[in-house]
Amino acid sequence: MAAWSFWIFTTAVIWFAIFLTYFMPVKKEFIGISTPETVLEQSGSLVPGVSPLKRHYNKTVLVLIDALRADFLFSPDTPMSMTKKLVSQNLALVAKAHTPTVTLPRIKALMTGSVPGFVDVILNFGSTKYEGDNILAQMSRAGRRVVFFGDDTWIKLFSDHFTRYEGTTSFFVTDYTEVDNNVTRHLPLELSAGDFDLLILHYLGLDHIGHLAGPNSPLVPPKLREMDEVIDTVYRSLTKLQGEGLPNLLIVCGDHGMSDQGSHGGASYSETRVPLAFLSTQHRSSTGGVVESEVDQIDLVPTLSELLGLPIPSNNLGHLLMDMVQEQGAEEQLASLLRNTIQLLNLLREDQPGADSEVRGFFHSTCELHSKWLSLTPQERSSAMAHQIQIKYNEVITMATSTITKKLTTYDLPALITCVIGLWTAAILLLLSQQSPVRWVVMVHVISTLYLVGHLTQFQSVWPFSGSGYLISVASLMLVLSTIALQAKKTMKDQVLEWMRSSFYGGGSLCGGFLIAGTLLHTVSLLSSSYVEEEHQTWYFLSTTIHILHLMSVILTMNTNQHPCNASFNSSTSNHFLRSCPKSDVESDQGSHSDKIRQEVLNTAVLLLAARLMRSWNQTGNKWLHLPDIVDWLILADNRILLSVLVAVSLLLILVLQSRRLTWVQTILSATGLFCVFWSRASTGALFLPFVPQMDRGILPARLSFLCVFLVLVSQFLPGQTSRPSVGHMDICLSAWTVLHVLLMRPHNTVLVAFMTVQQSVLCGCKLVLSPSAAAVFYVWMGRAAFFSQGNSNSIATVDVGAGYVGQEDYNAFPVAFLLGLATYAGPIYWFMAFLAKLNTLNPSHRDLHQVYFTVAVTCLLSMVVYAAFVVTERYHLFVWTVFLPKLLYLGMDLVIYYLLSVILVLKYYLWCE
Amino acid sequence: NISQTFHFGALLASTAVFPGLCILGLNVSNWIRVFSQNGADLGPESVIQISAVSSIVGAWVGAFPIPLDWDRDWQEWPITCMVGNLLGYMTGLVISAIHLCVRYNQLRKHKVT
Repeated sequence: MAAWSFWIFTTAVIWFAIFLTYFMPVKKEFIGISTPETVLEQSGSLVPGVSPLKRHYNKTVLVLIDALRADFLFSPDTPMSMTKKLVSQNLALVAKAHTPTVTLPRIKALMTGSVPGFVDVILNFGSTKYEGDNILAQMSRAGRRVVFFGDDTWIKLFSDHFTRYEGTTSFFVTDYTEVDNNVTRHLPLELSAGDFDLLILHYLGLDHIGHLAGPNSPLVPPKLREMDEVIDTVYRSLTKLQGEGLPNLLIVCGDHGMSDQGSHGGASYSETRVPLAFLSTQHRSSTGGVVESEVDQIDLVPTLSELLGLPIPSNNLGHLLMDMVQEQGAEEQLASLLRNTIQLLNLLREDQPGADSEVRGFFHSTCELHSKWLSLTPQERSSAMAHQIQIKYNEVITMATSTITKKLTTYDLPALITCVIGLWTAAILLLLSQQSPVRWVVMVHVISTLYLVGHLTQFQSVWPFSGSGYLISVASLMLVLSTIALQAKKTMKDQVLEWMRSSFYGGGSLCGGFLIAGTLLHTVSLLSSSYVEEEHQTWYFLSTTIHILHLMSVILTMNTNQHPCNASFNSSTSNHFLRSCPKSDVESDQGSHSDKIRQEVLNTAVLLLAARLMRSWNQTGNKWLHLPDIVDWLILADNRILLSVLVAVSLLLILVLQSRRLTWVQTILSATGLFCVFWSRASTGALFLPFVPQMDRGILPARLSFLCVFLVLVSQFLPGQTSRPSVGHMDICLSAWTVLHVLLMRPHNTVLVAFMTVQQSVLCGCKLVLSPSAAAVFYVWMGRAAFFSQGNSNSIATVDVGAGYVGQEDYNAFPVAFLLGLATYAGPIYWFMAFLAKLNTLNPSHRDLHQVYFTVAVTCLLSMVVYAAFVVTERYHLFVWTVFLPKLLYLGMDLVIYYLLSVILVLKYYLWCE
Repeated sequence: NISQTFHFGALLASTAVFPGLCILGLNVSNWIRVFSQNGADLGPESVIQISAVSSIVGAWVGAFPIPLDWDRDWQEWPITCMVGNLLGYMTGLVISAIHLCVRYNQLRKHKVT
C-alpha cells in the first residue's frame, strides 16, 4: 500500500520540477564572441564609410564599491565631498541595477551587459569561469592589460583575462577594514608604474558594514570618506599619467544598493539605485554634473566598449549612454549608435528568429539616412539631421531590447496549467490512496505523467499541441480527476474522518486538532506575501503553541486516567457551585501524580526556553531583520573568546547527551569528530584554540570530521557493537548526523544544535500523547522552526554559501551543491531523523507506518499545490521575483528533502518483519 | 519591549487567571478538573472556563495581523494581542451567559418532568 503512495508522491515531485523549469526558463545565451572585423564588416556594409572602432581613452580605472547606493554619493551632506566636486565637473548618473541585487549577477551584468534571469542566482552559487562574451575577454583579445584587485568572485569568473590580480576573500563579514586595505595597498605601485589599460578595484568594506550595522551606522561615514580619498588619489594620479594624446578615465559605480536594513538582493528603490560616475581627466566641453534621468546599470557596457574601442559584447542588452559619447562629435556618436544597434539586432535574431523582421525595415531606412548624412561634406552636415538619425537609432534599440526583455518575462501558460493540474491530481490521488487506492487510476496517472513530462521536456513548449499523444494524456489526467471526483463523493468524507480520528486518539485530540488546523492555517498564510516573508513567525508561533497544548493534553489525560469518575462529572447533577474533589480518591495518588505533573511542566519549560533562545539567535525575515540578535553580538571581534567557550560547552553538551545511546567506540569517534569541528573553526580564525596555527581554511580537520561521521555510521554494522537493545539504527544515524550538522553550521550556530539536542532528548524521554502520524507533523513543525532559527528565510540572500565549501579545496558542483542543501535544511533533517528515532520506540504497526508516510506526504504537498496554483494566477505580480519565486524554490527543496527522507519510511515498511 | 510584554502578561493574567484564582484558589486538581472536558460545574466554574479559554484564544488570534506589511501604528506588539484578548474575554462572558441560560433552562425542564 505504501508503494502506491510512494509512486504518487514521486509523480508530484516530478511535476513540481517541471513546473519550476517552466516558471523560470533557463535563458539561452548567445555563445559567439564578436570580433572587431565582423563589427567593421557589418557596419561598413550597412553604412559605407562609417568610422571604425576607435579608442577614446588611454587608461581606465573602474572603482566598484560594493553596496554604494545612490544617496551615499548624491545626498547633499555626503561625506564624499571630493568625489562630489569631481562629479560636478564631469558626468554622473543614477543607474538602476536589475534584480537580483546580489554581487555575482551584478558583476556579470557589468561585464556582459546581459540581464541575468533568476535562475542565474541558483546556477551560479559556484561562480564558475564565465565563458561568454564580455568586456574583459574583449580586452584580452585586443592585447590590453587588465589588472584586478578586490572581491575574489571576479577571479573565479574572469581569471583568464587578468594580467595581474589579487583577490580578497569575503570570508568574514565582520572584517571591513582589512578587505579594503588589501586593495588600497596596491595602489601606489600600480599607479606609479601605470602599465595597465584597465584597472578594476572592487571594495567590499561598505557592503560588510551594511550587513553588520546597516546604512545609518556611524561606521558608514568614515568608510565613505576612505573611499573618497581613494577616488581622489586615483584621479590625481590619472591626471599625472596622461599622455599619448588620449585622456584617462575613472569610473565610479556601485554594484547594488543597500536596503534600510543593510541587506540587499531585493528590488526596493534603495537596493537598485546606484551611482555611475564617469570622471575624465580631460575637461568636458559641455557642462556635465549629475544627470537626473535614470539609466540602466548595464548601459555602462556598450558605453565602455565604445570608449575603449572594443566590440560590444554579444549578449549585451544595454543602451549606449549618449551623454558620454557626446564628447566625440556627431560622426563618432552615430557610428557608435550604429554598432550598438547592429549588436542588439544580432542578439534579437539569435534569440527569437524572425522577430527582427519588423524592426529591420525601419532600421534600413535609418541606415540609408545615415549614409546620406555621411556622404555630405562636413560643412553641409546639419546637426538637426544628425539628431534625427540619433532618435531613429534609439527607437530601433528600444524596440529590439523591449522585444528581447519581454521574452524574459513571458510564461508558457498552457504548460504551467498542465503542471498545476498534474500536481493537484497527484495531491488528491494521494489523499485517496490512504485506504484503498483504485489501482488502475494510479497507473493511468503515472503513465500519463511520464508521457507529459517527456513531452514537456522535449518540446519546451506545448503550444502547437503537437500530436494526439498530448491530448490523450491530458484527457487521461482529466479522467483521473473525474474518477477521483466520483470516488471522492463516496469515500472522501470517510477518509478525512478516519484520518482525523486516527490523529485524535489517545487523548491528544486537542493537539491532533491543532496540528491539522495549524497546517491548514500555514497553507492559507502563504497566500499573503508578508506572511511568506515572515514565515518564521508562523512556525515559531505554531511550534510554541503546540508545546503548550501538548502539556495541557498530557495533564488532562493523566487526570482522566487518574480519576475515571471525572468523565461523569457533568453539570446535570450539580446544583452547588463549589465542588471539592473526592478526597479519598485524590490523596492516595497525590504524590506520584503531582510529581508527574511537575516533571511534565519542567520538560515543557525546558522545551520552551530552548525554543525562545533559538528564536532570538538569528533575526530573519524582512520586517524585523535589522533588529540586533544574539549572533550579531557574539560574532563581534571582542567576543571571540566567549564564543569559543560557548561553542566548546555546546559541543561537550552534545557529546554528553549523545553518549547515552552510543557504545564507547562510537562515543570516542563522535568526540573526535566534534573536536575536529572545533579545530577546523579555530584554524580559520573564527574560534580560539591555543597552539593552533591560524589562517588556513581548516580543510584537513573538516575532512577528518567527515571521516568520523562515516565511521560512526559504519560502526553500527560491525559485530559486537549492538550492545544496547533499546538503541535503534536511527539513533546512531542521528548521532552521526549531529556531528555533520555541527560541521556544516557556522560556529555561532553550533549552540543552536546544542539546544536542539537538549530539546530532542527531552522529547525522547517524555511520552507523547500523539498518534505516530500526529507526532510526525509535530516533529516536522519543530524542523521548520529550526530551519528559520538557523538564520534562513524565504529569500535567496540568506543561504549560507560558505557551508558548501566545508572541507573542499575548490569548487566542484556536486559536493558543493550537496553540502549546501544539507546545511540549509539541517534543521528539518535533524528533526525528521529524531522523529524516526522516536518512531522506533513507539513500535509502529504496518498501518501506522503507512499512515505516517501518508501524513508527511500530505503536509508537504498541501502547501505546495495551493502555492503553485496561486503563483500561476499571480505570475505578473510585482513580487514575483523577490518573494514568490524564492519561496517556490524553497518549497521545492523542502519537498525533495522530505521525499528523500520519507523513503526510509517506505523501506522500513517493506523490510519490517516480525 | 520588556515592559510592553509585562503589561500584556498582566492583562492576560487578569482576564484568564485572576477570576479562576478567586473562585478556585490554589488547588491544582481543581484547576485541572475545571479545565478538562465537561469538568466544570454550571455556575462560576463554567464562566471561568469559557471566559479564560476564549480570552487566551483571542490573544492568540490577535497576533495574526502583526507580520502584515500594512505599516500601521497599531500593528506594534502587543496592541493587537491585547485587543484580541479583551474581545475574546468579552465574547467569552457573553457565551458563558448564554450557556448558563440555556443549560439552566434545560435543567429546570428536567426537574419539572
